[in-house]
Amino acid sequence: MNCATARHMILEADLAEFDGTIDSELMEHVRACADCAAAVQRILTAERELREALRGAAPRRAADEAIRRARAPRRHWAWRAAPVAVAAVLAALLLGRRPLVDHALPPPPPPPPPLPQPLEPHLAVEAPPGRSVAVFGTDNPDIVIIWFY
Amino acid sequence: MSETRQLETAVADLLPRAQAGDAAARDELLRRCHGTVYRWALVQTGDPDDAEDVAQDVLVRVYRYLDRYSGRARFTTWLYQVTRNAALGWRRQMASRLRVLRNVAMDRAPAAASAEDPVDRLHASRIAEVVTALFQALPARQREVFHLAEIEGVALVEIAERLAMNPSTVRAHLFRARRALRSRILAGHPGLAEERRR
Repeated sequence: MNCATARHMILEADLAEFDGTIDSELMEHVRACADCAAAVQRILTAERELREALRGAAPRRAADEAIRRARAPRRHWAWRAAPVAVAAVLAALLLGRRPLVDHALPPPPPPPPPLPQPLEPHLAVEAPPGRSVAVFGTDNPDIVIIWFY
Repeated sequence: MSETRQLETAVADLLPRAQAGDAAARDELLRRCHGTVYRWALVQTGDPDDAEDVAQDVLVRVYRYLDRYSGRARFTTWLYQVTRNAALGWRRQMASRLRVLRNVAMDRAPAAASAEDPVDRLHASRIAEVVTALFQALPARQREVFHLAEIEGVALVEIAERLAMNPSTVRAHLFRARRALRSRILAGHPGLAEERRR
């Protein structure tokens, strides 16, 4: 084997070949050739440093930060609570003991009807854990506003 | 023993307890996985800060979805896949930024390698820095295969399973990675670089 072939093979050789675990024609040449031996040594040194650098790399942030994040309530709770809220509102509308807005009353004085007022807590709307709920009536008896906050 | 095997052993007793709902076991499981996940993420992303973010994201996913691990594959195989998916998602999100980073890395790595004799002239602590930069300049797939084969000591057949690739493709990636990395290591030393084949 000449040096040209050896240098070509050195670039792809398995580490086991370099350390003598596998006996090969390449290593026979390397043992006899100072230049090729130097090339192998250079590669071994650099790859050893790379291995140590990669194995020694450590995160700066603690795992506890991720654990805290994982424990925090997730944002899509509202989607899971939505069917419950809708069902509760429908039940309240159908079975409610009094209308949300009493049309028999004389018309309210002109403006302002600014913000909807909280209803009596007769609607069975349950807030998800860690949240509160407010239920507002509107001028339209078929519409109520449910606010989770 | 490779790092993967060490982790497999280190979490063996924690895993069933964590899956059964033991919060302390789950927390400890995450702490033990953190370093390995970070190093995997570092290979995937090529950047320490991004690897931190990916590793944190992986821990959150493991915390929330540990019950989805069925036990059919090794835990570390599943964890590696979670890390890989997180890194892929991160890559998609940061695609434009990554392109810039990769270009910078590609510009810098050959510069380091093209010095008269980069390895000889550097102090030992800097050798690692330069070689790591050369490694990070490899294409992501080559980096991943090289890391698993040469650093973790995972068999080619297992790498092929993990990455859902043909073993011969894994072998080709490994050879390309070795050739690229070693060429750059020898690049600054004309006497040792590959001679032209006649």
